[in-house]
Amino acid sequence: MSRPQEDILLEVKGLRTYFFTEEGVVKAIESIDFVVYKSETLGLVGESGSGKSVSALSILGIVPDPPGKVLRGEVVFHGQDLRKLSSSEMRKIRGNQIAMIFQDPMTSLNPVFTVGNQIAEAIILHQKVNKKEAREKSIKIMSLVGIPSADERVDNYPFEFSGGMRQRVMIAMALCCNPELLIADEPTTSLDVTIQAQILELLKATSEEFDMSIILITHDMGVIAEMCDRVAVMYAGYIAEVGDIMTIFRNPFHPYTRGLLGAIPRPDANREDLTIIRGAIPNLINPPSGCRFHPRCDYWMQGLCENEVPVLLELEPGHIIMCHLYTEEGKAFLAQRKIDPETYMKQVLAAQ
Amino acid sequence: MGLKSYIAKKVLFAVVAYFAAITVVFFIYHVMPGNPANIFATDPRVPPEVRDALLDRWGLDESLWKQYLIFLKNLFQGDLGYSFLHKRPVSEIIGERLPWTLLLLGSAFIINAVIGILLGSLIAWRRGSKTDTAFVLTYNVYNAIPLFFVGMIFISIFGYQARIHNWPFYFPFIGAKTPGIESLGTFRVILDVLWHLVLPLTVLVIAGILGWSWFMRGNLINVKTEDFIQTAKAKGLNDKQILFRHGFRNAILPVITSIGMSIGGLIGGSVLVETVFTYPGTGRLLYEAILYKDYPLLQGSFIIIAGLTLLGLLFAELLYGFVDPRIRSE
Ligand SMILES: Nc1ncnc2c1ncn2[C@@H]1O[C@H](COP(=O)(O)OP(=O)(O)OP(=O)(O)O)[C@@H](O)[C@H]1O
Ligand code: SF4
Ligand SMILES: [Mg+2]
Repeated sequence: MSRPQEDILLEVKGLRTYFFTEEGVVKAIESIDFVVYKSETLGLVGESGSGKSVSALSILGIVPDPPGKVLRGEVVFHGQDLRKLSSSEMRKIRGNQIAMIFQDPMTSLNPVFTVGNQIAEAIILHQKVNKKEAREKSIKIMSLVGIPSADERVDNYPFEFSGGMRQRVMIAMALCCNPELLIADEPTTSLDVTIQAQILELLKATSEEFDMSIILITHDMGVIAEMCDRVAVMYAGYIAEVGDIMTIFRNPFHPYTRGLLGAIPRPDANREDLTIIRGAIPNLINPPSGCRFHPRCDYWMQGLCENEVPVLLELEPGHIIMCHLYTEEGKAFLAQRKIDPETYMKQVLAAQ
Repeated sequence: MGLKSYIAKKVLFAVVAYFAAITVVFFIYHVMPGNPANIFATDPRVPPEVRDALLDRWGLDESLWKQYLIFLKNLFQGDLGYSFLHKRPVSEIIGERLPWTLLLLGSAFIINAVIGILLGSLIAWRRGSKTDTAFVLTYNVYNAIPLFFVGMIFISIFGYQARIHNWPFYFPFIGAKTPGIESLGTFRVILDVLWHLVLPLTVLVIAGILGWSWFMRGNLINVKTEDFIQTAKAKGLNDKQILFRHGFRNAILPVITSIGMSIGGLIGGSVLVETVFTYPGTGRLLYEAILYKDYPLLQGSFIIIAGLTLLGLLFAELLYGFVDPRIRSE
C-alpha cells in the first residue's frame, strides 16, 4: 500500500553523513532514502549505532560540525530541498515546521532556565507574540501535554520535574509552534515502563490532534507495533527495508529485519526459537564492504554480497528493500549455482 | 527554600569561617616559638610608656584564654595592636594602605574577569581556528614566565628605558601617586593615581587574564557538547543566541566557583607586585612586616587579608546562588 505523491511531506534522498574524527572517518550514514507522508507515524528502527540519531540530526541540519558533515543527498520538505536553504531560512523551519525531541529529558533541558522560559523562547522566536502572550501560550501547551497545575509549574526549573514530566515539557516545547513533522528520538528509552506508555499515548493523541507526522526513532519493535503506520529499518548507515507495519511484521524480506523481529521475545515462543542476530554492529570507520550486514547474515552469498552494495528495490508498492536475495545480481548468482532464491532461503533456514 | 535563606546561610557561614580564621591567626601568633606576642615587652624599640600601656591593654600577664578574649574584644573595637616599626596603631596603618590594595586588586579583578571571560568565550566558539591555536600556544608559553620577572621587564622598558631615551610616554614604577599632587586639584590627583596604576595593574592583568580565558574556553567547549545545546539548535536559535543564552550561563558556573581560589592567588600576586612597584598597599605592608619582624603588623595584615579572601568567597557563592537555581534550592 502506498499513498499518492502529493501526500508526501518529507522525502530523504541519498543522504550521506560522515564524522571526520582523529581516529578516522566515521561513515555513520552512507545512503538513506525514505519518505514521510502527511499525518503518519513512521518508525525508524535499528540497533544502537545504526545511524538513527544522525539521520534525524542530518534532516534538521544540526549535525555537530566539526566533526560531522552532511556530504550529499536531498531533504525535500514541501517540495523544497532543505539542504539548499540558507542557514537563516533553515532556522525558521527548525522548531517551527519540524521539531525534535530527544532521548534523555534529564539533560535535554537547560538546567538554569525555567521550563516556561524555555518553551516561550521557541514561541517568541517563531511567532509574532510578546513575552506575556508567549507565557500564556506556554501554560496552555503545558496543560495540553498533561502537566498538572501548569500555571504554577511554568516558573519551575527542570530539576524540579520528574523524568516523565520533563519529557512532557520537551514535547510541549516541540508542539508549541504546531509543527508538521515531529522527530522523536527514542523519547521513552530513559523512562520507566508505565511512564513510557503514557508518553507514547500522549504522542499518539497529539499527532492526531495537531494532524502532525512523526518520525519515531526506537530500537523497540514493540513500540513500533504500537505506534507506527510504516517502518524504516536501518542498519549501519543504510536503509535495509521500508514497508507498512503489517508487511514488516507479517512478511519481512530483509534478513536483518527478520533478525530484529526474532529479537523480540513472544510469549508463545520457546527459548530455542528465539533468533537473535549474532555479532555486533560493525565499526563504521572501516565498515564491511558491499552489503554492510554480510558478516552477520545467515544468507550471505559469498562472492556477491561482500563485493556489491545491493540497490534499493521496490518489490511491492511501498515495500522497499536493499538485499541481494531480491536483486538481479543475486538471482543471477544463485542461478549460476542452479538454485532459485526461494529454495536457497529455505535451505539456510533449515540449516539453522 | 529560596534565595533569601540561601543568602542568610552563606553569610552566616562566612562569619563563622572568619571567626575560625582569626582564632587560628591568634593562636599561631601566640604559640609560635619565642612568643612574638610578648616580644615587644623586651623590644628596645618600643617606648616604655607605650609598653606599659600595651601590657595592660592586651592583658599580656594573663592566661592565653584571657588574652584571646581580650584580643577579640579589642578587634571588635577596631584595635589591631601597635606596630613596632611605624610606632603607630596597626589599624591606622592598614586603614591607609587598604584603599590602595582595593583599588589595585579590584580593578585587576574586574578587568581580568570581564575581559578574560569574554575572550575565552569568543575563542571557544571558534574552536580549532587559527585564533584558537594561537591562544593555546600563547597560554602555554605564558604559564612558564614568572610574575616578578614580567614586572621587572615592565619597569625596565616602560619606566626606565622610556625615561632615559625620552620616549613620548613613560610610566612611574614607584608609589601610588606623586607626592604633593593634591595641591593641583582632584582631577589631577585622579589622573596621577591612574598613571601610577598602569604598570602594576598591567602586570596583574597579564598574570591573570589568560587563566580566566583558558578556564572559560574549556568550560564552553564542554558545554557545547551538552544535550540542551542540541535542543537549543533544534528550536531554531542562531549561534549567537545559543552561545550567549544557553552556553554562557552554564559555562560561567565553574568560573564563579573558582573566583574564591583566584582571590587567594590575586592577593599573593599583590604582595609581589606591590613590592616590586613599591605600591603602598596591604600586600607590601605584609612583606614589610615579615622583613622587619613587626609581629603586630603581621597579625593585623593577616586578619585583614583573611577578611578580604572570605568576602571574595562569599561574593562568589552569592553570585552562584543567583545564577544557578539548583544551588539555592538545596
Ligand atoms: N559526534 C560524533 N562524532 C563521531 N561519531 C559519531 C558522532 N555522533 C555519532 N557518531 C557515530 O555515528 C554512528 C551512528 O550513531 P547514531 O547515534 O546515529 O546511532 P543510533 O542509531 O542513534 O544509536 P542509538 O540507538 O544508540 O541511539 C555511530 O557509529 C556513532 O559512533
Ligand atoms: S545482501 Fe547478502 S549479506 Fe546482505 S542482507 Fe542480503 S543476503 Fe545478507
Ligand atoms: Mg540514537
